[in-house]
Amino acid sequence: MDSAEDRDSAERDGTAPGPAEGAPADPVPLPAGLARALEAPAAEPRFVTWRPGSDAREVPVSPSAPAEDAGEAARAEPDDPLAGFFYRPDEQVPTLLALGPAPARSERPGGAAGGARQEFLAFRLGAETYAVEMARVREVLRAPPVTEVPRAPEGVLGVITVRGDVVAVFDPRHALGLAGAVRPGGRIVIVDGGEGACGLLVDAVESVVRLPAGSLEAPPRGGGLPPDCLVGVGRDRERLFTVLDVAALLRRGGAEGSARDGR
Amino acid sequence: MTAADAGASPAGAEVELCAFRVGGEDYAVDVMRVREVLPPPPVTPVPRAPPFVEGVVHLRGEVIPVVDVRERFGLPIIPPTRRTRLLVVKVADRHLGLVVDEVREVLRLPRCALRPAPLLGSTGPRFFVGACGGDAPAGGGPVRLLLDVRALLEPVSPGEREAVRAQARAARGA
Repeated sequence: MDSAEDRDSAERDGTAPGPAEGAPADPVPLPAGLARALEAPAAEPRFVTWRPGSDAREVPVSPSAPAEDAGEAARAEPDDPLAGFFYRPDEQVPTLLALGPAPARSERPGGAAGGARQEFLAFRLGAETYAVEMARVREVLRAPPVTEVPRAPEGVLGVITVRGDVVAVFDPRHALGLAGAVRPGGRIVIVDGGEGACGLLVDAVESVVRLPAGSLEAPPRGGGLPPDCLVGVGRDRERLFTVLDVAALLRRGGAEGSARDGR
Repeated sequence: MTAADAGASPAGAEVELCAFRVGGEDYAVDVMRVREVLPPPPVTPVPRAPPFVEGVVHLRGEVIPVVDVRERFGLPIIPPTRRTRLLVVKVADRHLGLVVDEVREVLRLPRCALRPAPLLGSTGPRFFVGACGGDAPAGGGPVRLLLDVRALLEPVSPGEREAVRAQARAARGA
């Protein structure tokens, strides 16, 4: 499978808050509807989005069944007038050529093509500017009201709904050990947390900064920020910003709260 | 295609659509096509672009071509309102931005609630491949035309605007 398709599958599967599934002692209690859905007996097929070609097989396939047979049948597309309406990453659209060559920016989560330049999304927490690797950023939204989840780890502010998907929202201030309260009117940066989409609540999103590969300076030691979250320090004209590791931020947001609770 | 995507029994299978409005009419696209919805950034006109492309927007460093759906359907152009959105959709491995009046909601419907539209046999792109909603027992809500986003990329053909109106009428009546 090409990586664009992998990424799309990951996007669609990552509905529950990712780090919560890995939390050792006290998993985040899911919203009631989600919990019910997950408790459904394994014999019942889960909700699956119909894809063109799935009509070819009558037998419901559980998610753990081998993929080869189902894949074969799915690809044998019947003559369905609505088939083209549904998205397939491998669809053939010759008229796309009219838009000119594809933009150079790579879609692959692996990062900048050929290591030429790296892009970062810079955002503000309080008075300071931080950034994360652009490849991990899915989208940026105006922060809607966050639904709190009782007994969630401290770093988890709650969940929001993005076009029908439930996404957990983390407070990067908590993960970094920064003082300062969460202010209303911020933005949520949806990132790829490895196991699905997660949101980071920030005060403002500033810009996309493009730096030549290897131009990040080593993070200052003893600066008070947890070292595993820091990738380095970048410079954009006059301004310095601290580049954060998304995976480490999310681990801290999910795990540290449980540790603090002593469970 | 993963195992989870295929093999569900057709009657029980459900699809999710993103519903939006253009020019007072309701439309829908496959939610799997939708990458992002945002208030429209400024559109930079691009010389020598195809006529259906208004220009491009810069979104976090990416350049995305933009189609104004009202313009393509021959509706009067109005200044953007608070609800105007840029709907970023995926077509194969590329992205396209659609300027719409309002993005409403994500609907979950059984596959059988989508009705294919009759083929009119007219030349030119086929924008509406079907409809859902209206008086259908499973759908409910207003009649929404299912937009084939790929058709927005096809060259503008003469008499297209009348054909679009005819297609819309036929699809709604399906």
